Amino acid sequence: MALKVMIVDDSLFMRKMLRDILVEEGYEIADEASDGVEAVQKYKECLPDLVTLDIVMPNKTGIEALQEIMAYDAGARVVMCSAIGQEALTTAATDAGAKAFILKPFNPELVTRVLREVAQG
Amino acid sequence: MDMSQYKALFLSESREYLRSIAEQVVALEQSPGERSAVDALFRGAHSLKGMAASMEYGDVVVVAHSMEDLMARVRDGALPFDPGVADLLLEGVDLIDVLLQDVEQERPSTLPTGDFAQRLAIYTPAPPKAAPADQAEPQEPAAADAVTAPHSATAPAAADAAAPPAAEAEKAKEPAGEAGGTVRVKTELLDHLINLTGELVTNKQRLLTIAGELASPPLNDAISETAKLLRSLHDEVMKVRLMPFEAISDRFQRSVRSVAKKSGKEIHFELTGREIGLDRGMLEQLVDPLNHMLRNAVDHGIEESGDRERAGKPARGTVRLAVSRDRDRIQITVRDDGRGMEPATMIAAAVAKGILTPEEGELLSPRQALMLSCIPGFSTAKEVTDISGRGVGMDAVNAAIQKLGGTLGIESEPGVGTTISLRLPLTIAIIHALVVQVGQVKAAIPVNAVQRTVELSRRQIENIGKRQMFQLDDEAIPLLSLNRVLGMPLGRFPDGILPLFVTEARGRRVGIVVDRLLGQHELFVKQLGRPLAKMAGVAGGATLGDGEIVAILDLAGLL
Repeated sequence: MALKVMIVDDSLFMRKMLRDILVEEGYEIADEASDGVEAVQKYKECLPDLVTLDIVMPNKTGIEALQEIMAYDAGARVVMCSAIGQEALTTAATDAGAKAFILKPFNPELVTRVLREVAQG
Repeated sequence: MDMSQYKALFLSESREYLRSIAEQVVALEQSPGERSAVDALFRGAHSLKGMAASMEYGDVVVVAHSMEDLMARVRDGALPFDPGVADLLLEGVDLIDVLLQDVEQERPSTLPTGDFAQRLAIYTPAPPKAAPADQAEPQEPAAADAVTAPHSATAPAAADAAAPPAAEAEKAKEPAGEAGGTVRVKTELLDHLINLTGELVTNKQRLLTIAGELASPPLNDAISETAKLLRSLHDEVMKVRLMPFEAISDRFQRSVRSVAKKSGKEIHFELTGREIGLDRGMLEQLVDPLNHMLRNAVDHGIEESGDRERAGKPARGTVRLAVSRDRDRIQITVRDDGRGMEPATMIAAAVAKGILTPEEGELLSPRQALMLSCIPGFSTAKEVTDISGRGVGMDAVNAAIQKLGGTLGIESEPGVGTTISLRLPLTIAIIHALVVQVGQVKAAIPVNAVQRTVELSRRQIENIGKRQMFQLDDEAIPLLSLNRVLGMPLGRFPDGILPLFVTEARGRRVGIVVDRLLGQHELFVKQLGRPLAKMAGVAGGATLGDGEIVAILDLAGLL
């Protein structure tokens, strides 16, 4: 059965790109969220197998959202998405339970490889 | 991965970010230290950079990245948000805006981004005592220790996490996504819809013509029902095309700001009615006229602060831009509390320029005298604008508003200020027009340009000098023949009755004689293609119910 992914990014453009890459790879898109607050709320609703989580977002940053998601579901598999220049945030994200990182701009092969590795544990 | 499929989305979302950045900059200037706006600015630049990097638009990445770094310094407290930062950010917005146009047109970038990134990287606030130097660019020759290393810009996680949830400011920024039962629709689709509706209106007119010949009551009923449905359809389609005024308003804040700065004046700018919906096509065409009006208000309307204080006014001038809706009309006013305009001075200037004879000048009412500023040639010379306190390009503004089917009015009180009001229809696609016969052709005049129609007996015409005039409401009104203006053979009028309509040109009323008045019609305006679109005096074309094509005249351009 196809794995369900939730995409979190404040940019519609980024969500669309990621969605196309994932659908192409056979993933099912469980839901999309455009800020940290929505991400936490929708995670609880759709309990996806994987989450791609942007870091720089309004209302609640990706790091804060990650902490809340992990507090709700310790088994959550969250992959952080960050742009060049945000490397300093990786430690905080790893500490909070992020499983991996994807660097923007998205490279389709890299994205699918990272997600596959995370999905397989 | 084929990225071309994302180009349209990239462009539309990037522009939303640009708009939001410009708004946040202005908001921050009004209330500095607003943490949520600082965060939003940082995120806006950050998102733009990420999107552009995905599309591999290197120039946009460089500019957005430098803006992001600058905002990171502000966010982390290394730099105050001062006017210099605001200027640089707005310059960046303008740069990216041009770059996006190049991307859209698929042409190589025409704009060198030059040393923009470098200037942002080395920006340090002007020393506090440096005179009125907001607009000074950082002149320190690349002080090495002022250069911020790129990595110091990346905030420690704690700082980011400590950011308070950005509240209200965010809502405006959030691009309208697919959530909440809304969809994104290409604007061409909306244009197509209004086109189809317009064609239906034309067709309804045709049915009316046929029904008139057949004299069939059931057919008449069916048509009048169709007409009702069409009206609802038209209203709904128009609603879809409405966009809030705020889609263009940020530019005005910025142009007021920049003119104020250039002229060294202190201006308080107020905007009300940003939520009022206007037709998308009309919004675009309002940008230039409104910019003109606001620039005039700041540059010519508002006095120097010294003069203001001597006149017992606050040193800071106020310019208000207000948009409101009054049933089926949109009203836009630009009001300043500046020096105002003196009708007598306006008349004297017009006489001096040879636009009016002294006798004609005496006939003008104060309101008509103020409208002299809209006459081409009245206001272009600098010495006249200095006398009148207003006027650059007002003729162009007036012509543009008329073209949109609107009217422009000026009220002014010397020493107190000036108000220019625009009244506009809700739509420019479907208009009511007076159709007239001129020689072999029919022409249409938008009803907003027609004050009234008159059937004049020859006996009522007086010859004054070389001109033919007639009396209307105790005012002598000159007559002009539309046939002559259009280069057609003159009408004959065997029964001695001349049909005419009264319009306003060059600030005063004129009677325009035609061969026949054919009545008022609802017309669907179509833009003329080239080369017809280049003809002065023609605003567009339309099809009448009987299939005949009429030119819609733009009287302001014609007379």
